[in-house]
Amino acid sequence: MKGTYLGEFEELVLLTVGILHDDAYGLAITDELESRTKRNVTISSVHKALVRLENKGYLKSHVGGASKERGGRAKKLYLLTNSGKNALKESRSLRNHMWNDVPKIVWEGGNI
Amino acid sequence: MSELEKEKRNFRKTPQPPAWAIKLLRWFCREDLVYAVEGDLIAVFHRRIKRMSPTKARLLFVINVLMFLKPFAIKRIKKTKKMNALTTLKLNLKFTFRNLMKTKVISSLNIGTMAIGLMAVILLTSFISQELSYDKFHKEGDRIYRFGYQIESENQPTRKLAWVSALVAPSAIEKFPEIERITRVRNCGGVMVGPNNQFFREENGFFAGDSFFELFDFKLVSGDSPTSLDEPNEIVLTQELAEKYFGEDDPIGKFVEFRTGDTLKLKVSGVVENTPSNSHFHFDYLISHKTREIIYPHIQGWFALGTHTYFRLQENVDSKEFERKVENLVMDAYGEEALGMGFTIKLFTQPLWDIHLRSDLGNEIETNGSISYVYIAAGIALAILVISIFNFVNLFIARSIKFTKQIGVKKVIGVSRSQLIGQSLVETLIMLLMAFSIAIALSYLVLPYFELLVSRDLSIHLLGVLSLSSIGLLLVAVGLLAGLYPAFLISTFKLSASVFGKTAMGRQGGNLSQSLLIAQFGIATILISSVLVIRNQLDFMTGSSLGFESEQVAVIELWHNREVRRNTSVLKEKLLQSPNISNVTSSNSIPGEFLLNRVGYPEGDDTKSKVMFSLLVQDDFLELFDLEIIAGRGFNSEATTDQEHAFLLNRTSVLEFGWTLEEAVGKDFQWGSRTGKIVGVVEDFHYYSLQEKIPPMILLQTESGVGYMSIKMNGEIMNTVEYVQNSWNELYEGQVFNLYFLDDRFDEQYQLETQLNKIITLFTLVAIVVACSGLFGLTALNVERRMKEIGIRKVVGASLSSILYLILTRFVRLVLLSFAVAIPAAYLLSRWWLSDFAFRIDLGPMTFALAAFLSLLIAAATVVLQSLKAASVDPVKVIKYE
Repeated sequence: MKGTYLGEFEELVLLTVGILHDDAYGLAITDELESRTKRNVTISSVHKALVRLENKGYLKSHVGGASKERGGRAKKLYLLTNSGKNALKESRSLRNHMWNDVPKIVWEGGNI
Repeated sequence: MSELEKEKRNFRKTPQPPAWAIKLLRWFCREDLVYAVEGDLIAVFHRRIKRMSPTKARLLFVINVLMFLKPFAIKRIKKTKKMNALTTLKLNLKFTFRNLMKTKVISSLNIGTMAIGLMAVILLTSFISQELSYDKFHKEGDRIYRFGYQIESENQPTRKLAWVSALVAPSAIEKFPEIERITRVRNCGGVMVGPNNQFFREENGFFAGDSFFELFDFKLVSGDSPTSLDEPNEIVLTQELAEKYFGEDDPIGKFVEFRTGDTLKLKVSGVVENTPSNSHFHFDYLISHKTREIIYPHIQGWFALGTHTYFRLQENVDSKEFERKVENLVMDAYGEEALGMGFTIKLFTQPLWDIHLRSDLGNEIETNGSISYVYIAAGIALAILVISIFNFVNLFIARSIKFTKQIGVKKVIGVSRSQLIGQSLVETLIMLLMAFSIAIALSYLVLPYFELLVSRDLSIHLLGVLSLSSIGLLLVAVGLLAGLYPAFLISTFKLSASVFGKTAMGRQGGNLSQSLLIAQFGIATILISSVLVIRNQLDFMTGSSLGFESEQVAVIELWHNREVRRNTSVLKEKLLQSPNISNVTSSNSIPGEFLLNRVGYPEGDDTKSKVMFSLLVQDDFLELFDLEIIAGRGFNSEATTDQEHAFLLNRTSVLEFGWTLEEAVGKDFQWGSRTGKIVGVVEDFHYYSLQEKIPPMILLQTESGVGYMSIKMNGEIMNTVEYVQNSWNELYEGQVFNLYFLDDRFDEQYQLETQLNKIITLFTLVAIVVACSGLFGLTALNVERRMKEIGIRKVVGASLSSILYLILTRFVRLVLLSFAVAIPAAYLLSRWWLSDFAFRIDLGPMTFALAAFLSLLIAAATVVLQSLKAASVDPVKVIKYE
């Protein structure tokens, strides 16, 4: 199905929204991703992912509170929708299945 | 320090991200995202300035903003809406054509009448632009003027002539350095003999010279332009004439013979382009002025008129001031003598560009147009345009009644008001486009006939009028005027009512239609009464007696036949032998032709002298033209003294000398150098036309100097003309024979009025057709709206006539109302037009009553047709519907 494919980065963003639970907004997600992946994450790519995930129906958003730090601008807070949760679960079970199917010998075998 | 102020100070102290970057972000970023992004970026900025310099933080802020320049964040351009507009248009077109097909009759009426109206506007506009273009091809025409004589004397109205003496030109250019170029033009006609001995009578030529080609922009196609008319016995031909006599050969340097009293051998020194149709005078050839001085040395002196003199002023010369300076040129030349003449001649100047439309002097070269006719044409064009637009609106509204259900359904589905208006406008536009195409095609079709009607060459101007921009402009103007109101009105059709098949148009629409109808019929009534007034005046002029007999009087010209001029009696006797010829006489002029004018006064008292139109006649002139002697006697051929010493004066001159009729008879009188007695007084007669005042006139007997022979015929015109021609050929073989009938010649004088009559009649018909179709549409609407009411009335027992009455009264009331405005307007217009005529009809109430009656009749006829249909409808059918 077109549009439901979850890219790697999108999956990470989606998970981060879950982690941050009720304070998931662009900058917070960026910070969280950066601290966890130790990679440089640009704000624009996070926003891009958020917009796409919302379009796919995995996220929904509402306007959150402003703060002085943000120059008085409101936050756009994201929450996981059921289909978002399902997509994460699916992705996880896909991985689990695939993990399970890797023969043990692969892990136990010597270095090539 | 309050909390707030502290915060403010703080704000100022802490660096802020660049405002322009925020503006940029807000400009391109989606609204549902922009606040979040902005907040995030600002938060990052504040975080950064703790770690790095503000400049670097700002730079990074800008980079961050720019990174949002990606499709996901950019505002959507409203693509979807654009596609909607296109599909709407498609849908509009579809509905338009469906609606057109559904209402074939009324739609074609709507388009057809608009097309006819527009055709009339296009034709009239091309006529107007032709009239306004006269003489504009002379590039420096704004500095070209014409001299004229203004003759003033006591107790007499001032006369203005387009003619001056041939002496004016040389004298003026010598005295006034303001004149850059000056040229004289004098009509000369005669018989031209080409190289192969072809004889043709060529009337349309001039003696011209001096700087003719430097003053005017008539283009020489060959020959040496400035000097082409410098030498005696030189002639310049138009291309047309050159081809006629020389065919393909180069005519330059060749000779033609020209007979005008004398026989001249003229060398062709140039070929000029044919005179443009929009020139106030046309010529086929020009003979050098020096030739004239040789063959007519006697045409000298300040009273020898017949020359038109044109000049061009230097740049920046004030023409009014110049006119004051030249005014007394003639009288100064006379010096002391001038005082005794009893009248003064002033020179006046007249701009070239005023000649065609604003000059109506005596002795113009050609009959000019008239600015009042341009106004009339413009007025008719405007009237027809207005009627057409009103009509279009009325019919369009009437037509849309048929679509109330369609509009209702559309509204139910949720079509917005602006879309309904759009539909209406598209429909208007399509119908107008059709009307325009038909109008343009019609104009081309009708143009040749219209050109004949107005005797003008209009094809160039039609193209001008039909230029894309002017058509586009007209289309937009008419479209807006005709389209907007119905569009709004239709879009307000009440939803509930329209679905139930009621007409549902508010009172508003009805009121508008009614006022438009009143205006339409008002205009039509004005046009009809104008037609009647012009007809009456024309009938009055052509039908009312000029004061002499002109029926069945044929005239032959004798100017070029020396033999007959020496002795007219041979031909006269020969002609009188025919039983169909009752009388023959000769004279120096015949009514309608140029009259000699010379000064006359009571003998011995030249202070009372007057310029008198002088008619030199032979025996039987008074009898043939049936001139009435009101005092004294006529000429007596027995009395030999009459030959030299008898004068007849007309009533006007007797009164102007201050005598009674009886006093005049027997008075000693002097005319030029001739002295004698006044033997009688003749009743006034119109020598030129009823439009002119009767001048003082004198009749003398003569043996020589005649130029015309008048022949009174009775019956058997064709045979008699043949007899005259045969007699002529028998007596004077090889001489040019030219015969015409006097009343034909006179009718030509009313050419302008006759034309106007035809034009206005034609376009009034157009206006009436258009107005009637509007009325037709409105009645149809009204009847349709009241169909059920009529059905019920019939069921209850109303008679046919009472239903007719019901519908008729409404429209008759409207038409009557329109008269209230139309008739006073028509009266004022007619009075304005008639004020041009010296002798005119009285504007009685009958004319206007007739006009009103006619338009009422036309209106009633249109309505009755429709109402009859309504009244004869089967009530069961109309009532059961629904």
